[in-house]
Amino acid sequence: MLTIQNLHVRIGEKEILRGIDLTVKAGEIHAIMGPNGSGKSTLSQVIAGREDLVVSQGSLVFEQENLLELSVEERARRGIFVAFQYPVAVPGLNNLQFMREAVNAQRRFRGEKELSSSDFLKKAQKVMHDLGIPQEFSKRSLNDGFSGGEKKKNEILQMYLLEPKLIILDEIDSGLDIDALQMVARSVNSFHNEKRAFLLVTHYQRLLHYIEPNYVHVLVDGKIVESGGKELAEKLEKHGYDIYKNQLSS
Amino acid sequence: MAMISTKTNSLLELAQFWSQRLSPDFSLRDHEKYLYTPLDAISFGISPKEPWHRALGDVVFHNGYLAQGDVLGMEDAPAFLQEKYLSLRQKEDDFLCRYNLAYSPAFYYLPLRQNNSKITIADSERRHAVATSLLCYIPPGAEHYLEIHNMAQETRLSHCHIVVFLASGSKLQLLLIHELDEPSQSIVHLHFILSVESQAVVYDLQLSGKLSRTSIEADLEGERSFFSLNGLLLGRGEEHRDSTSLLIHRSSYSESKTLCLSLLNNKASSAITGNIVVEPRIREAKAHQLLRSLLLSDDAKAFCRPQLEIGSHEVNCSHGSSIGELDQEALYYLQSRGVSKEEARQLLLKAATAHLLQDLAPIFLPTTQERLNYYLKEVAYG
Ligand SMILES: Nc1ncnc2c1ncn2[C@@H]1O[C@H](COP(=O)(O)OP(=O)(O)OP(=O)(O)O)[C@@H](O)[C@H]1O
Ligand SMILES: [Mg+2]
Repeated sequence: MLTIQNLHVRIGEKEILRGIDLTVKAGEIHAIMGPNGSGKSTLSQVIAGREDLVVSQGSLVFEQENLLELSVEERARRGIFVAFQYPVAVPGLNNLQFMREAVNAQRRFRGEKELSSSDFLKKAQKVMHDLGIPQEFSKRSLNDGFSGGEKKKNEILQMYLLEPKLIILDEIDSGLDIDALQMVARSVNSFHNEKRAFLLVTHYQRLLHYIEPNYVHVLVDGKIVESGGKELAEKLEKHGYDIYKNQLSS
Repeated sequence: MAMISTKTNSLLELAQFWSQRLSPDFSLRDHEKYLYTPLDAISFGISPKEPWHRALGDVVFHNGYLAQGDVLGMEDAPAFLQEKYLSLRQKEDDFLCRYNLAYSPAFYYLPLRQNNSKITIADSERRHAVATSLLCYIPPGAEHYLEIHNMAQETRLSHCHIVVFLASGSKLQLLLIHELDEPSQSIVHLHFILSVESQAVVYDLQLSGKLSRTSIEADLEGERSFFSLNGLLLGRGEEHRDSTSLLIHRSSYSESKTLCLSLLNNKASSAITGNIVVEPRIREAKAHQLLRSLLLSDDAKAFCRPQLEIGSHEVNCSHGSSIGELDQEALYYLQSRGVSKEEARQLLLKAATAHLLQDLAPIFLPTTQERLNYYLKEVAYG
């Protein structure tokens, strides 16, 4: 589904990603862990298509298409969804109205009929009910005044409504209380199927108790320094990242 | 501002022409009638019965009509109106406004049958200039919704002067729309005189046309009077938008709110000036003012000048202004959900207007909603 080869990414003059190789197949769940500032969000955002990230080397291919030639919205329309580490608030833009615009923009792209207000509302209300998201989310402005945890739940709501294929969750677990973490984990698990793939960026093994990854990758200083199964997360929890840092500096 | 002053000459000629032709032949004996009939308003200006009207412009009154013979000469006007006139004349230093008040010797009585009325200023005959003067009187305790839709077409300059007297305890929501075709220009001057506990809420939507300008003067004369201005100025191409307000707190416990936002693309420009004056010895006046411009292109230009002149200590005033760009992070976030850059811009522009229009009366929604979406899209796509 997604093939990343020797990817180098700069912001301005600074090289943030320094040769990433990663292959994600449909149905798989990958976890990416790594210290602060190692480039996890940069990796998520370069897949989403953030414009100020400069790809200086390497390739990014999604379902046989070169992502580097596609704009942000074109990538989204092909089924890539990134839940932001810091979702943006837009006062004055109604949460659900925006979601309807987005869903319909994607439907237009796929040649499907647009959803009417009432059909969309019915669908959204059902999803919110299933996810245990309060109905008042539909009246509020996009992420405006949302608590950290509410923003994360709202990203999950968007994921459900947009029905993407490749889902990247950048620290979806940060700021969540125990109940919310379980709710998010449950919804990820029930959304997951053999056609969809997940990339979970997280700092904590806790999330991986609830969502079982097929692979865990350790990202340090813009490079994947180790990959393994879920036992790798346990090792990290015990020993931290010091061993990798020492390796890199020597 | 050179554009406005060069047009002034032709307006002067127009005013002279108008004043020569107009004669106050009629008089209305029972002034009292309009002063005490609830939901009545007086309008002052152009009679559709007169042939010279055709040279001046088409004014369409909806939900009201000009009653036979209900024309007042200045001499016959109630004393309080005459006084207001005189004081207005002395205060005006804007030439464009002065001529209308000084030269127009008659005004008309316009009974309004409902609590809402609409005036469309349209020019169907491709004229040089259109001039309109209106005087509205909102009787004590009345509540009124007035919509003024300036839709000049192929007109070099449409000029409209409206004076509104709000009697004690009356309430007015006024929606002013400038919606002109590409080459047209329009200037609307609004003057409000607010009595005790009266409230005027103005929405100024400048949507299209080469040049539009709204200049507002509000005299908060009565205690606890309230005035609010919500201006939305949309520009693209080489259009210019202009909003000037002068709000004078002349009484204690008066309150004003000014919120003005321009959204500009291409080479459009806007000038927003807000002046708030609080006279000495006024107690507990409140005034809040926020002027903002959002530029969608490097060539768009905005000018914002908030000004406070406070002669009293017991006031609660705040003002601010900002000129900025669309939030790039928000734009990117919206796009990452599958909407195009232009759609995302349109959504952000709409979001920026939400606060400004949140209290717009439902009666105005049919006129505004689709129009706004249309013009916001025009600005977003540039
Ligand atoms: N706009 C920017 N300009 C300069 N440096 C940047 C910019 N954005 C990110 N960086 C730098 O890139 C590096 C990687 O950042 P990134 O956000 O990808 O880290 P991360 O692994 O997600 O960290 P965290 O765990 O704290 O979320 C950091 O050193 C950061 O300071
Ligand atoms: Mg991060």
